[in-house]
Amino acid sequence: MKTYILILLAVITFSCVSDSDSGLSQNANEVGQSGSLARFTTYNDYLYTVDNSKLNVFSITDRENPVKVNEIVIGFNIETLFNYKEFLYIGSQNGIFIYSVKTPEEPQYLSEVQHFTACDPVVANFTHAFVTLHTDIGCRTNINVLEIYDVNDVFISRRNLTKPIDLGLYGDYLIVCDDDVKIFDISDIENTTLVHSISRDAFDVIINNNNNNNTLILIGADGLYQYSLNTNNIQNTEELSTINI
Amino acid sequence: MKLKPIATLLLGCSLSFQSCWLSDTADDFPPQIQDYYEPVTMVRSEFDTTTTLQTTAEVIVNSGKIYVKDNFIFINERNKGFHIIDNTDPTNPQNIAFLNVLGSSDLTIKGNSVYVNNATDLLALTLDAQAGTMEITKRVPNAFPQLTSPFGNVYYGANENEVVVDWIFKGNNN
Repeated sequence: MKTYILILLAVITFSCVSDSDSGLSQNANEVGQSGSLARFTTYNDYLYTVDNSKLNVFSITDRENPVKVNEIVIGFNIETLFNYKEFLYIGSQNGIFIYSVKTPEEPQYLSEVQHFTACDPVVANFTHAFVTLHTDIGCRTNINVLEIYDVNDVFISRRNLTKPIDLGLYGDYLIVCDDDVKIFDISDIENTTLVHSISRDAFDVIINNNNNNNTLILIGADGLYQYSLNTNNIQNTEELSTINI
Repeated sequence: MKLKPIATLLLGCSLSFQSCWLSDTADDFPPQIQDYYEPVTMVRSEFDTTTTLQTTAEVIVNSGKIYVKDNFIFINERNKGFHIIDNTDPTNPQNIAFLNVLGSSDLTIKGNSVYVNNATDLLALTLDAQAGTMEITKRVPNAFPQLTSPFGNVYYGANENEVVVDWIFKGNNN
């Protein structure tokens, strides 16, 4: 029963939406990186934030002087905000809302995916959206899964996990903070496979690719952990450092 | 005639299963635990002076989300601020400074500007962690609703001049 997924309103497909870089392309060093639990993101000259019910839009044309230009009521229990190209993926306890920011001050509702009530960070690439649903205080739901959708909101697969939280994309790999940190090969999206795991309890993950080195940065209740990542050999994750908490 | 009690029994059973289903989790918090969190409030005039940069590291206690920019990692100390880690050498990261931001959870950076939530306010600031300098370039008051408890409770007792900056666990009163 709890495996039912209601997929609603697959209204506009990504193929309808131009992939052209609208406006400025971001300087790689101008912005930093956040994990998929974040509630703040920037896109060009705009800062987007979510609170419990709203998407807030700030103009940061003058970087030092943000000006609130819009707010849009999205729904209830909004938790996360993820930006990919000109799309915002807004994770709530009830589903994922997808907005276009091609008109940056007036984000346009594109579609949503509804699921069982759960806490749900989301990440996406050009073809697929990945979401973890997990049990947490405040969410009160007994469901712990990784779900994959194609960007037309077509449900592809579900995999049971223990307590998945944050997740990040690294090329053909998806890295999920579960009871340990699990790395899935997603090159065959219909048939993802677990290829490696790191025995760390973490809730937020950033895959950092500054200085030509790919570093996996993990934070948990007990520490900040860093590992080197190697695309050619994903199983070769070497621990670089730990700051105990 | 007898259907009614049976129906009631069945309804009761289904409800009890429902409650099991809802609470059968690894972290099985009884619902009433939410009563034991209390809001911490501060008057606006005092609140507006609380965002500072200190060049002495704080011990990380209640770690929150992370943000990475260039050679720095920002670790949220939930509702308190951000630890600034110099990660120039990822094999030897250094906790060098702490940005006090009450009621904070999120941070993002564009260029030299850092954007953080300061309870109900959005702050734009610039900082140099090594030099220990920080300037708030803009405060957008009441950009966000008052902080809710870890259970999503809203504190309705705050007056216009008060900001909820944290929720503290008051323990078990039983």
